Amino acid sequence: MLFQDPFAEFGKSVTLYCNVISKVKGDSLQGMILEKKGYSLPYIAILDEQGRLLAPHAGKNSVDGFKSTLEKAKEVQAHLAVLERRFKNGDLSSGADLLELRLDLRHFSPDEGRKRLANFAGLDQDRRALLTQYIDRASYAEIFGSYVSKTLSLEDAIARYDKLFATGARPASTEAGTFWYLMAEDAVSRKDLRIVELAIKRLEGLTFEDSELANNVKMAVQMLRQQIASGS
Amino acid sequence: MEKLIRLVPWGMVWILGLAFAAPGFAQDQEDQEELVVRQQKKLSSEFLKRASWLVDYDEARSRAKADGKLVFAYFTRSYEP
Repeated sequence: MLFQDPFAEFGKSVTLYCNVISKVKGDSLQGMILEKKGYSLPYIAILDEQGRLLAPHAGKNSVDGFKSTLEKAKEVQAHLAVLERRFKNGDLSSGADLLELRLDLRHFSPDEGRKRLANFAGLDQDRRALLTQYIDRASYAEIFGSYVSKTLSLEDAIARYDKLFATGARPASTEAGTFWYLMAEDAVSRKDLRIVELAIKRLEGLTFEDSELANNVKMAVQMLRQQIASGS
Repeated sequence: MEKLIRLVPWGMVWILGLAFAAPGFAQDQEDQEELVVRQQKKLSSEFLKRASWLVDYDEARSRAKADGKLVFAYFTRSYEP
């Protein structure tokens, strides 16, 4: 799709940025995909001029699909501006909506998100729990991102994951699945059976509402076990 | 691993995708020089020449601000055919 002329024409309506995850040491932006809520490759998202996520692309990889995501991003950007203006004028309800949307889009680091949530009075318990969940997931993404960016070792990433888990924070099953598969694959390449077994155990402990995903993880575990058995 | 990804159904890609991106994957065996070669090869891909792609994040944000446009961010990997 990206090779075709209609895409080049569409490209004139946006600023095109390509992030190549390379495994090359010193590439500090390798983990950025996780900050933008991307858990698979290739991944496309529309960002504002500050690099803040507005809309992940979830539709077809076609010019029409990209246009649709771009329109959604513009709507989100306009909605954020409206909420911001209303909040500045004293509307606390808009302030709560603004905080929720910005936490959902991961516009803040987890630490900054926690501070903002702590300082925002008047949220009911359910909403506070939801926003805490957004921050928790961003915290897991931060660990994944640091690992992919090579600022965390395999062991440190697992230690930080477990430390976060012990606080009661929970990742989404898809995110946890990605993390533990990633750990298992790397442990296989290092022939670290202890970590492979740990990762397999964690993968097996995940539950998925989507039966296809559950089956995929089951297959992934089988393949990992085959890799162990073959000594690869 | 390339063989592995072809063997799995499409829905599996979400969970395998970042695993391929993992820095530790076969890292001990892989030469950083080879990874740089692959990265450069990806950065000289034909699709990047067919439109005005930027690969510098700061430049992309500055350009977006100057032009009043949003950023279309495409994340890919360098070691994919």
